[in-house]
Amino acid sequence: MIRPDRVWPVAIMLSAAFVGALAVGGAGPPLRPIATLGFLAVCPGMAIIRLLQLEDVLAELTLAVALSIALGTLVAGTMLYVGLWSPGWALGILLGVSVIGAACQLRPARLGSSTEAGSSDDGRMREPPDRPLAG
Amino acid sequence: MHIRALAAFVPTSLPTPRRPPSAVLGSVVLTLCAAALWAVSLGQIELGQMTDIGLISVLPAPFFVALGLLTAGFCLTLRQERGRVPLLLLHVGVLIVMLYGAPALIEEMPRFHSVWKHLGVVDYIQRTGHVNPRIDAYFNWPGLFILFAFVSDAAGIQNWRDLVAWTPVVLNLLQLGPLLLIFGSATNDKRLVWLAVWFFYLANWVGQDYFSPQGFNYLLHLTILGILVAWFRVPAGERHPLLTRLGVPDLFARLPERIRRFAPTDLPPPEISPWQRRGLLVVVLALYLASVASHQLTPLATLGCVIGLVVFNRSTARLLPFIMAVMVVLWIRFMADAYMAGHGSTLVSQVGDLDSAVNENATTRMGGSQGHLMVVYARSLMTLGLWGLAAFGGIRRLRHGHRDLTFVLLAVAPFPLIVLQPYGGEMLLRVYLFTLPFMAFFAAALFFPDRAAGTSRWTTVLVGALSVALLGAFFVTRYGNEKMDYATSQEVAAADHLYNIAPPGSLLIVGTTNTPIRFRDYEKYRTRSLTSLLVWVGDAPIGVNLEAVAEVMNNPRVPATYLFITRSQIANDELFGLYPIPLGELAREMAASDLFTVVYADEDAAIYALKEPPSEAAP
Repeated sequence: MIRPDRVWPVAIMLSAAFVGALAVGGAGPPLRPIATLGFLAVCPGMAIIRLLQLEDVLAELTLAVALSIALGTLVAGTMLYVGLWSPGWALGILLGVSVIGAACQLRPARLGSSTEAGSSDDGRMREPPDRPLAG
Repeated sequence: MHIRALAAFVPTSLPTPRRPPSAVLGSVVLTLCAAALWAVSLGQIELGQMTDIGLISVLPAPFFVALGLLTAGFCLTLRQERGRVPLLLLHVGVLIVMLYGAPALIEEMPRFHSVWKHLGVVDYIQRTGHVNPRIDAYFNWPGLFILFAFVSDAAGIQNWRDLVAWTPVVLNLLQLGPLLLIFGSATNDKRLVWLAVWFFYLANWVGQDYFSPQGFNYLLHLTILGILVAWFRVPAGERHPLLTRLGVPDLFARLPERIRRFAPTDLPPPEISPWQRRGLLVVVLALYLASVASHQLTPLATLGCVIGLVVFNRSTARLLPFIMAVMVVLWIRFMADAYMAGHGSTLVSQVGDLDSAVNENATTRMGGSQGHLMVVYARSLMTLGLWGLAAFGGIRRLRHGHRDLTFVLLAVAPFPLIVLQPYGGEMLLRVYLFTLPFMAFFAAALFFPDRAAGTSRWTTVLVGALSVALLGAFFVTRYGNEKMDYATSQEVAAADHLYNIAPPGSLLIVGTTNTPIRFRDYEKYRTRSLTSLLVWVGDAPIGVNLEAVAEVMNNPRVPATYLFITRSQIANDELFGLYPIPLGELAREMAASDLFTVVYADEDAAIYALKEPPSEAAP
């Protein structure tokens, strides 16, 4: 049984391995486009966002998708502008980013973990009141 | 450290009446019935019967009944106390598919001519592996096109034509996350959050969610704002450090308590660790860099919003505007210099030109056929109507003790863009788009200004009535130009044929630019509209007749010249009245004339060439 906090990193690593295998094996549609699009839309961003420990799946997903789009743009764009255009290598870089990010999540002491102020006893942020506040 | 930025969506007790589980079941059944009825109704749509008011003229009654059922289900769900969020999510998801997915199901090809050009830019990058900034503006801000060229090769996608038609559905679904993040930063009243989401989708008529840099950049823009308003809010009572440094007295604190009570702060911010703060700022900068590389306008809108937040002490990320501004300046100076060299002086001269802004954004749009004018008026009415509702909603929320200054700033920050550039007459549309989330929030606040308010049945009835009105208007405003925006398989087949026969370097003349073209060999052909060429022949405007057209096509400097006229171009002319004689009539005269030969013709398109070759030899 996988611990809940390890579901995402394990899923990201398995997805990276699967997408990498499809690319190397030269698989065709529909499996390769679906798997690669799904991976590129979520995994690179999620591998990084989860390091921030936002502990909110919807917020993490929201940020992960946008960051994945940005990372894809920046990696491919940089390669193109420096004259090293290679979609295969760009995919490889994003696979690497995803695997490294997921591996960092699996470390026993996660990056930036702390018990600093702001956490309530049950581990959740204190929910702000929706009451008018003076001042 | 744990953050619950979206904690607003955790069910909490509300002063609404407790309802039995049958209400949940009823909402689900209503939604499923609506989806089924909608799907069945699509088969009754005859695109060929469309009039000048667009898609709504061919939508069958069951289509609207389905939307009415969905609206009823949504309104009833808003009143439920338990299990509400999954149900609301279901309603909004179905609404997005119904509103934004219908064209993908009923039309043969991706709609909107710009989509085809964008596919051409992606194709160019795939073929060549570089960008040529001298071709046009797209190649000066090519981020999105590079991304899709990369994804095409990495994922083994040969043809985007079937996929890009679904871009509006995908983008609107993806926008839901940032919207919840943004609205959840101002209230934890789920009714207000979800009604704002509902209104956002009902009022998003500008149609900038197709396969385009603007579409994807809007997602990045919303996400950046979502991060800033969710995690970088200024704590209550904290003064702007600049005011403190300058020794400006805190006049607000000296006001009597009775007055201050009417101006409370927004929700207090969540506490985040330095690690999370730095990480989120890096994410913001990565999103913004991708945006700067992909679009001319959106980064400026984002920058304007961020400046507003910092100046008015609504964001603790006070260095962010400076870093963002440097990014924009560096990109324009070094990566878009080819474009700026040719257009810089024009762009600068338009800054602050109110006459030009008003003329291009409003006056020139008030023309065309009666049907089209009705669409234009409906758009104006919907825009002003939503802004009016937002104004009243904002006042009502203030009266209930919620200041929401952050959202007010974000609702007004994009307006200065109007005087910055006319943006081809589209700036007002873009401003509407950038302000839409916040206008939708305040419009929703009219019904739910506070958690204790809006619990009566009358509120539900009014929400339903306004939703129905917005739904009816949506199909006029968003799809009002559908007659010219949709493309048929025959039009695309004709364009494919054109590229197969035209030698590289040929001049491809189109009746209007509103046509599926430039999706192949982007750099190899010159594409011009007939109207622009007619104006410039002989340094003077020339009347539209067969001889004038033949003279335009008699160009010895290019290997070949073709005139390409399609159904969507003729529809464009019918809606906007671009030609003194109807383009369709001109096409018929050309087919019967001795001056031209019909190279290709199908049901929806024709390609014409001169019977006689150009009179001068190529230099």
